[in-house]
Amino acid sequence: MIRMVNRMVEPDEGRILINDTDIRGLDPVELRRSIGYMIQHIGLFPHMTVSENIGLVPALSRMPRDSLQERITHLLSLVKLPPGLFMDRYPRELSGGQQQRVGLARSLAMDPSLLLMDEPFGALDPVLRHQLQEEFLEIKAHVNKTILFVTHDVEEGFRLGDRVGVVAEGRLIRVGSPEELILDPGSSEVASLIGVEQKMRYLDHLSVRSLAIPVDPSLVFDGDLAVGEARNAMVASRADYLLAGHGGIPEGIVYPWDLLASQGAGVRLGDLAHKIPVLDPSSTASDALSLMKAQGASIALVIEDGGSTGILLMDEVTKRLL
Amino acid sequence: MDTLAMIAGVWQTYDLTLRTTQHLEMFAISFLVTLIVGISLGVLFFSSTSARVTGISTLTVVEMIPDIALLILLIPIAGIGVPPTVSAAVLYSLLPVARNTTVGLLGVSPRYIETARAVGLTERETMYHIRFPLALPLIFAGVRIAVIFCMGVVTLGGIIGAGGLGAPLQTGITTGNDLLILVTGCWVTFLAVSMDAVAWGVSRLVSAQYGGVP
Repeated sequence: MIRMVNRMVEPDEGRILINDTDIRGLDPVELRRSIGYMIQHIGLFPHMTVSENIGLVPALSRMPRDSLQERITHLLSLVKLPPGLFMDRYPRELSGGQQQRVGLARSLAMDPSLLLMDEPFGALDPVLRHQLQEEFLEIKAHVNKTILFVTHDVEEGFRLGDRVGVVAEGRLIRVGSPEELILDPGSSEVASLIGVEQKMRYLDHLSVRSLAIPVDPSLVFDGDLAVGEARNAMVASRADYLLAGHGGIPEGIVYPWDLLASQGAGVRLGDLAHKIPVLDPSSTASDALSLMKAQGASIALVIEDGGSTGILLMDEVTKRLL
Repeated sequence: MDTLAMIAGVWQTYDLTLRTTQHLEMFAISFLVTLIVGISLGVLFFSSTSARVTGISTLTVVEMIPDIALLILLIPIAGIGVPPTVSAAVLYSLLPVARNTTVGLLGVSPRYIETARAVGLTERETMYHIRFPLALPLIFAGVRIAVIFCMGVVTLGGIIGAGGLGAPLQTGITTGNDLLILVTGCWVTFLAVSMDAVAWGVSRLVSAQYGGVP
């Protein structure tokens, strides 16, 4: 499927558009040069040095020698290979991981806006794969390119992808963010691929935002409220807890027994409130849950930049993921 | 008279310096022509299956003719002397060069070709930058054989009046001059072995540069 994008294979039917241009109208050689390509078995040319491998296509496209040299140095540093040390080596003098990095550098040589990657980390051992995935994420974050990445490893897909497409028997059956796919697989194929029974293992791929629930405004009370009134409100709303705060922004939690235990007059709701952890909505669910565990809290506040708030309930998370 | 003086005497009498120059000239011409034509044929055979089948079998038939017979067969066409000798040397050496070139080009691992295509090389660029360089170790193996073949046929050219070191050998045989045969024979052998050694050195360099495996 990925090979259709650079016209290595022509589609039997349908069209492929890149930036609204049908690729069948484009010269295959030009098209391929404008698309970065990286494959599992790397395919570095054994008779060329690292810099010749990276610089082959730019040189054929008549990039001036000076800027080419600069580009090679830049790309090698990007993939964490010291240029001085690696530029003149031959592929056989490199380890598998180093070859893979050179492959990545080569695919970026023409500064393409689109990158095709066909199981680039498939042949590596798990430790190295993990390390390269990390580096890939770093590079991805600052090269600002569209990357089409094929993998058989669901975990890898969720780790690296912003949007994940599921292909079964040649058909694209689902596209969505990792979170959408995990929380709402939509079809049995996707569900079995992901392993819905074990959603817990995807805690790393879920954000706090996707698991938080909105705060019920009727449970948020001003901290200056007298305990007696608060008690009545709690009874009325049959809630398990109240949130105490200011101006509708919750700051702490009050449990029923707190209210019952405080008999004294003049005690305010705010005095009884327990501090609860505040979470960044974009942090991962697993980080959030460990933070909550460390603080012994089963509830946490999620505060968005915009000011809207939600809460994350440990019970609720467990229920959704099991 | 000591041995060295005897050898020097024979060398002077039969002007082996001139003979050596002639010999190496003929060798150089045949070898260069073989290289150019052989590699071109190899590329042609690579790109066209029908040319490959007819070309290789024709060259194989030529190869099966004994070299002396080939020389004599060429006399009616090319006359006597240098032209038939060079022609025979070329015809004889074409097969290893052409065949190894073809096999080398065909044998380049498809994954390199795929990669070359995928990163946007044209057919011609793939040939020039990927296929040919990767086939070089095998091509050079053929070239080494051609060096030996050319040396051999050029020496034989002595019997049809081509000059070179074959001529004094011929003289030695007809006049029963054992010393002349011995000196010239050793000298020709030494030249052939040196040429082969140079070719071997070059092919080693190429193999090292191109990864050893085509």
